[in-house]
Amino acid sequence: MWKRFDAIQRRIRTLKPFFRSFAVKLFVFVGAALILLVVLMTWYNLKVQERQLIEEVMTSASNIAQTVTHATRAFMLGGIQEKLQESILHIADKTAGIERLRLFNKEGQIRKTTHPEERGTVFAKSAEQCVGCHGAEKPAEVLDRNRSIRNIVSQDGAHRAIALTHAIYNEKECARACHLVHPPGRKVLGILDITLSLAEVDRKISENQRRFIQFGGAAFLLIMVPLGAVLFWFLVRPVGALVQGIQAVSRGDLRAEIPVYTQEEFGRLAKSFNTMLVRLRREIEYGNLLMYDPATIEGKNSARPAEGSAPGQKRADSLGVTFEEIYDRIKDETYLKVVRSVKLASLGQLSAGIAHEINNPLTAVLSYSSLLLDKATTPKEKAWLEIIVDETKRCRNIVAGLLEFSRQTVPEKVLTDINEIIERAVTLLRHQESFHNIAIVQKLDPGLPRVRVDRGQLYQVFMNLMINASDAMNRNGTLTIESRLKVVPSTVAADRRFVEVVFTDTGCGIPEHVLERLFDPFFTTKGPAQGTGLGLSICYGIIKRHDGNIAVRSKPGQGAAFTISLPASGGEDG
Amino acid sequence: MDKICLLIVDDEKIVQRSCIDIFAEKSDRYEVHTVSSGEEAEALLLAGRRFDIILTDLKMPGLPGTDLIAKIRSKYPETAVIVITGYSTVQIAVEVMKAGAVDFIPKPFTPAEIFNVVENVASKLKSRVHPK
Repeated sequence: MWKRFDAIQRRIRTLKPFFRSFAVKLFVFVGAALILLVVLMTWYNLKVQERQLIEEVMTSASNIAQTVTHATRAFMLGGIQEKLQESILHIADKTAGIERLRLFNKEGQIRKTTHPEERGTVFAKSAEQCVGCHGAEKPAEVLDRNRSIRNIVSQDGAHRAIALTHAIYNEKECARACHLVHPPGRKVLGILDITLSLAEVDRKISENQRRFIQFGGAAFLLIMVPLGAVLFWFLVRPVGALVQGIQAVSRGDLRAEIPVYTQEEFGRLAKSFNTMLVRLRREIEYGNLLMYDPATIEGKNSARPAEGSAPGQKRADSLGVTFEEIYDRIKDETYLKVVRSVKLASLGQLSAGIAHEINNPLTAVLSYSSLLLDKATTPKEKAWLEIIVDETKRCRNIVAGLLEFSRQTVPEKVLTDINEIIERAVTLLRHQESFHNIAIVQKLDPGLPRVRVDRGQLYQVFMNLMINASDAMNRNGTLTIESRLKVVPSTVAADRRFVEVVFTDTGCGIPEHVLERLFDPFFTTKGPAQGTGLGLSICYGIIKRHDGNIAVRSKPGQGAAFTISLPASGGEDG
Repeated sequence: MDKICLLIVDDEKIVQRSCIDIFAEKSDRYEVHTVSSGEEAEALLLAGRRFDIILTDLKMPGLPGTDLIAKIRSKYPETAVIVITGYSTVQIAVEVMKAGAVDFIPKPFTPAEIFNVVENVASKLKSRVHPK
């Protein structure tokens, strides 16, 4: 039994997924149950009906038997036995369903019959119509109803028939009758055997059977077709969509939105799934945005194009990168970000302390060297003392830079047109000696939304980036400053708007190993007397305190582009 | 002409000495006293000593520079206060000005720088005193 069950299970497992689905199983189960129900009901109804119809036939046979008995009695007593044969033929002829009517005497000889050819034939006691009584050793005198009925096949064998054996008993009138045919000692005078056709019953039953089958078929279709439709519409379709969506997401395609077909469980499930996807996308976009300026991504991709784009990998369209890539990048960038902020924080505290302590001895050095310089008499003395004074001043600048870097002041943000700050910085620097051979190209979008920034700090950042650009170009080249609006679409909330300022130079470019450490404090590529390595880390700190982002894209020999993005002020600026 | 009387308040001996030697260059014009803490400065003032200009550090053990400025401002308004600090940021400059200092000299300074500031303050003091 269990082996069989297992075999069926195995069979089911080899079917195509659709046929293994819950809906198909349910459909098949309901269909099978329905067929079984219809068959059982039909069978039971037909049986009941057959029994009733046969009962009717029996009752009518019994009535006929009574009638014939009475007629026989009347003819016998009236002494007109010759008329009996005629009368039997007449009764048989007038009563529907009578196939044969025979009257036996005590010896088993047919005395009267509807079939004249068998008249006079003698039947043994073992004949089918006789065994009812003569089957036992002592013949029964009174036949019970069950034993008096025999199911037989009609003479021509075409249909079923039923036969009834009815005993005709001796009566006082018969014994006393003048011709003394029946002596008073005899109990049973003869046997009446009636055969009734069941053709009509069979016809009715087969007609009903046909009706039941028609009705059952119609009921089956009426139930199964809508059931199939309902199952498909409310189960197969939404579940299929859900499964497809989940499979797509598991392959890394985050655009896979599930159609919401219904408002109940599956609809709610699909809706929740879509909301979850939207959130996931938003988080990734947001994370991506926080840590990656598109410029950075482009830069990285072009630097290593083959990585992370194995064939068959789905690309998250809106992001232009795969799910795995984004995940890895977020991980890497988060790590870098944490390291950077820890570095900045500890360096900030350290530098503040050092600055204060170093300034005191520097005061003495600067004071006395300056005093001595005033009193210097020989050119050599003067030159040497000048070196001490200048170098001490350089120390002072380094310490001042450290202090500036450690400053964790909250920016005093006011609504500002970013272009104004750019123009102010450009105006100031344009006349500096280091910018004399640099062409400054401004592509400023006049329709930019305003940003909430600390003007002084932003000014400082822009100046710093421009001076860096000038140094990178060896004071000769083109510096392009572009301001533009960037809209990051969001599927859930309002789109986020950023104001971007891009400083592009035609300088020497930045090698990859430098790119990684570019914003680290004290990291510099300039000569010993030129930079402290704090400029970009100060810029980084300022932009981060403005909830913005600073990113760089560069390749050696191809210049560099620094992109600063700041969140645009939302609406309140009019 | 009276000498301008200066008090240097700084816990660093080397800064005190630098100041003494810088102003010694113009000893005909300046008279310099030094103390190492806000408390000592206060004691001198309580003892009746008067100064035209007090140059004070901000970060010192004991009474902080800002508190000293506030006390001088309220009790001896005729004395001007200049802040000398090694922790020189714009923010601190703004704070000390708000507290009542008239000027701000970041450390390290050259003799010329400190002369300039002190002279500037002194000339204002004179113009204020003279009309009397």
